[in-house]
Amino acid sequence: MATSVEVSPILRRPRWSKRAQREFIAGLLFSAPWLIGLVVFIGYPMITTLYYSFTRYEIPLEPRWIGWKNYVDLFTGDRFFPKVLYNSAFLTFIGIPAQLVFALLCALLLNLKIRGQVIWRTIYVLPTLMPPVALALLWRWILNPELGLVNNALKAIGITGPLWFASPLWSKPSIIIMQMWAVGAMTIIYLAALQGVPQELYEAAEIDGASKTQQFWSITLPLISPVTLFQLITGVIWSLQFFTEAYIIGGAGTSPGAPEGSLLFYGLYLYVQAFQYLNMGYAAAMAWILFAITALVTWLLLRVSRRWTSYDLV
Amino acid sequence: MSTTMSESGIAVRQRARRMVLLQRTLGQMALYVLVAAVSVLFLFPWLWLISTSLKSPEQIIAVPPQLLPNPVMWINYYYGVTFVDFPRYMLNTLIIATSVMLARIVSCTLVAYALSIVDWPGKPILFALVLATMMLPGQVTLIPLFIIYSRLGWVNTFLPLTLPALFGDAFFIFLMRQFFVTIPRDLVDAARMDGASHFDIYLRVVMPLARPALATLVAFTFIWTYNDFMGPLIYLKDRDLWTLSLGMQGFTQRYGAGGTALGAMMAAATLYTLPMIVLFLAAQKTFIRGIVTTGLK
Amino acid sequence: MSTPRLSRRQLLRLAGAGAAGSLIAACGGAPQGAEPTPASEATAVAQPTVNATPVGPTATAIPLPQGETIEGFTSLMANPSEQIKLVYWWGNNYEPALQFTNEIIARFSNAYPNVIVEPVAGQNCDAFITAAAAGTPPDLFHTWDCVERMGAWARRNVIIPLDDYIARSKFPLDDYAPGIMDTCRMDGKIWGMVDTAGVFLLWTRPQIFADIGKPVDAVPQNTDEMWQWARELTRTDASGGIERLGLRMPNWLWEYFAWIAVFGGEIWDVNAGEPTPDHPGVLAALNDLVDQVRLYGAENLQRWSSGIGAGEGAQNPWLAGNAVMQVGGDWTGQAIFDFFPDWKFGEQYNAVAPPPAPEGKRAGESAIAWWSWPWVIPAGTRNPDWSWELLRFYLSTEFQVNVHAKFKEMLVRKSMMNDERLGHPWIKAGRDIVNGQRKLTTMMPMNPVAAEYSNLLGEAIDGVIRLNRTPEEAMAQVKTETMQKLSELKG
Repeated sequence: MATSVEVSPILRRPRWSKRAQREFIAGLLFSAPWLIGLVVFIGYPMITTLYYSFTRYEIPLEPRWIGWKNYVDLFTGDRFFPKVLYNSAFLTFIGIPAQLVFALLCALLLNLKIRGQVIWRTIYVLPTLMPPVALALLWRWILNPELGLVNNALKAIGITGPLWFASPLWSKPSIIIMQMWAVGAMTIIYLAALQGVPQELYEAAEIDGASKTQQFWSITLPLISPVTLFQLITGVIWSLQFFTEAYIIGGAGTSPGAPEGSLLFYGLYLYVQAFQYLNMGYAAAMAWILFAITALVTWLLLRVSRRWTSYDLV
Repeated sequence: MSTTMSESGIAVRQRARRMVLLQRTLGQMALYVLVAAVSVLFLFPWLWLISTSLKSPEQIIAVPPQLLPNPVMWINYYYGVTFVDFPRYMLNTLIIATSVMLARIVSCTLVAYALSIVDWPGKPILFALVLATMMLPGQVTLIPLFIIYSRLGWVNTFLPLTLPALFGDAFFIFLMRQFFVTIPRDLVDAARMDGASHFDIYLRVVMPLARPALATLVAFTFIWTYNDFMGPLIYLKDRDLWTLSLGMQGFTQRYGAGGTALGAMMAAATLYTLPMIVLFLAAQKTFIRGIVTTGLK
Repeated sequence: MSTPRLSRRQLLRLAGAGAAGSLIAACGGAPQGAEPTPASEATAVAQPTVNATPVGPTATAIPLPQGETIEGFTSLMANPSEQIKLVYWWGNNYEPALQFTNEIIARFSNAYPNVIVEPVAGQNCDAFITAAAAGTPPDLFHTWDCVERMGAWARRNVIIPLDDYIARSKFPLDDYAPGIMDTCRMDGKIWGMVDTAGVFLLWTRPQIFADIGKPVDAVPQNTDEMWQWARELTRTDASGGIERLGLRMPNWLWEYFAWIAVFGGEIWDVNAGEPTPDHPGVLAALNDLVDQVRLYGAENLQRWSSGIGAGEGAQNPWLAGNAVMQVGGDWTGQAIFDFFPDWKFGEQYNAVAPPPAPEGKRAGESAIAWWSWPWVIPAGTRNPDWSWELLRFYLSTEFQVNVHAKFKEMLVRKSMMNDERLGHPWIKAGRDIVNGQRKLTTMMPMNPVAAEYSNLLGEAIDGVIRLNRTPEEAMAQVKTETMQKLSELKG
């Protein structure tokens, strides 16, 4: 009898199979644009700011190496830093989830099969089109304690509205309200995601007798989970760096972040250190601390998300 | 007797059908009401903006606030239009925004492809890198970047505002990647088996499916470029190169105490956003078309 | 060139916004004696003395082209043989101001055809420091809303001292009202030039004085009297909420400075080079304000200040009659001209020097505060001589008087401020002050920690006015922290 050697399919193939090689090259080629730009436009500024963070750099004098001093000073010697961290954390961990939920609700509404989609969509997204200055001014006006819409509406039903932006307690919630109004960007992204969910799945579920709510929880949410993750991560990243509107509104008083430093966000304090006090080294240290915090939060989100996101590939 | 039975049967069924129809119509109406109610939330501040833009100073500070201006100060809009060189600034803004859009459509999708469809070990590292670049605040990278562009001689040109888009942008790379990963594996595998190269798959399978995401990219790129102030301020020194956001700054800095009347400023803000609204309405068509073609083929 | 004066808040808020994650910025006296006649004073001041050594590469001064005379300016440089470019930045972006600048530049180019001036408007202080850090600063910069940062710039030699130029061109420094140049003087050197000074005046609505039985030309004699009138003029509703406030409370740092000055307070000791937030005048001013806050109720005041009192521009509460008096810069008058052109000085509005604090309460002489946005010449430019020439051109009588007349601002040059062309009604109050009736004070002289100090002061005063802290304790903390910043600089 002739012996036949069967090659077991489980036998390991050479490490870099042709296919793997091709994939690797494809990966590199496709990501080449970004990798090139990374070195010049991103890498250099990032490395230099990292270097600056270990120096006392009073532009435009020469930076002077001081090791970890900036970082130590921030955590031990700067009485504004804890407040800054708190303010930004408040805005991020309350504001972003609020915006996400609201955006998803709006996207669901926009996804309904009703007439006039173009009009509704434009209206829902209109707030995003407003330049940040106008947005800040408009809302400062709307939330004006005496002349604004909101407090006058509240007065009509017998409630004395708070001082909104001028109140240390209400200033951050006011910002969150303003941001929720301008949530159109998130809404659109969610809408695009919702429309990527195949209709057949819903029809199949309908036939199986699932209710609308059940469909939402077991079909919609999981299938848009990659986008939810995206919105969460980008929202957190962006919120931790929040600056523009706070700068416009927070100057309602005598110092940055007024009233009582309640609007002194990380981004604002960074700007003050970098451009008003010209402490570039200190500001760079702040930037990299923020980087570390953001990276940590993002990593946590990614890990936790593995349980609730579903991908078709990857 | 059977005729009577079937007649009443038909009647019952007709009534039942009418009930269902009524319920459905009511349901539809309820949905409309809901959508409309929420849209009022979004629309009202805009109406307020427009209303304020047409008011005289006395009316603006009147308590309780009135919605309808009386008298209607159309002249505020006259100030808004004539005060700055709208056409030129608009043209510059459009040039920059369009360049960035086109560049990003190409670059961001390519990189997103590498982060999703291609199966290679570099993915996690690349993904981490992309995310990482979003995490450093702009205030500190501003000066090193400016130094680079200054040495390159790109200051006072559009280049610092447009060229980097050719190399992708982390936010949009991430966005496109999250859309690409929802594309069913079967489609890709089927194309592979047909002998398609990655580029073919990219062009013929992935990109057409990504229309809604692309429309999103286009819309946001336009809006954010339109509203960008610091970039143009730092890099565009010639007045001829100025964008609308820089030009509008001149309007808000009226000579003398306290800036312009709030009304005229609101008029300027309204005028400023009109082009974006128009563009958004136009982009919607692509959006809707994109929706129709999404889904399993 | 004058620049628009908005409340600093509004300057900052309106001067532009960045896209996501990007930056924002905004940045923006006569001795006792006879009034000199404008023309003779101008000529006398402008001509350099016979032995003046002209500045510049060539030795001979040239006359300006035929028919072209710039009042108060004598050329000290010859048209260069090769083309020179001067980049001139300033923070304003207001079109009429632009036109005026272009006019001045055109005439400068007429005089010196080979010097090309490139004006760039709307450049805030962040753009400036960015360019300076990259080694590409403009040749001349008119700061705007960042006078506090000048000290830090000087310390780092981002800008150059001007003493040499001043001496060589015999610029008449003593033409400035006393104390004005403190805003540009540090370490014994002069780092910038002042053209406009925003003097803080007391603006009133005289016709409303009838409510308390006072004639329209009534002027409070001291702060106590002023507060008393303010209380009588205040209208509250049933629950104590304020409808009309007699005297608008200050709402940004320099308005507080105005009060501190009135009480004779000083926040910086120029001789010792140290902050003095615990100066008795400062504490007296703050305690006085706190007393008023207590009377009205902190909550009520905050509600009014952030509500009706928060309007700017045409919505300024004082313009609307919701505040009867306010302390504001002289730019307040511009708003009146803009929005209420038919108002008459002395009837619908009036401007006087803020009344002094009474003898027993103030510490030292009651002074008037002012605010400025000086010009600087950056370091590392190729033609600083020409930068100075352009600056001198601007500072000539012709342009100073005309531009300040057009935009209704205050000049603090003794030879020019009495010029008839400055015809706006409230210039009289300003003149009276500078002509010696009151002392003019630079509250924050140029120093290397002015930016930090200002923010710390602002934060402390915010707490004091909210009745969360006592002035003594708050100012003590400001002093400690600012001194620490100073010592860090030396270390």
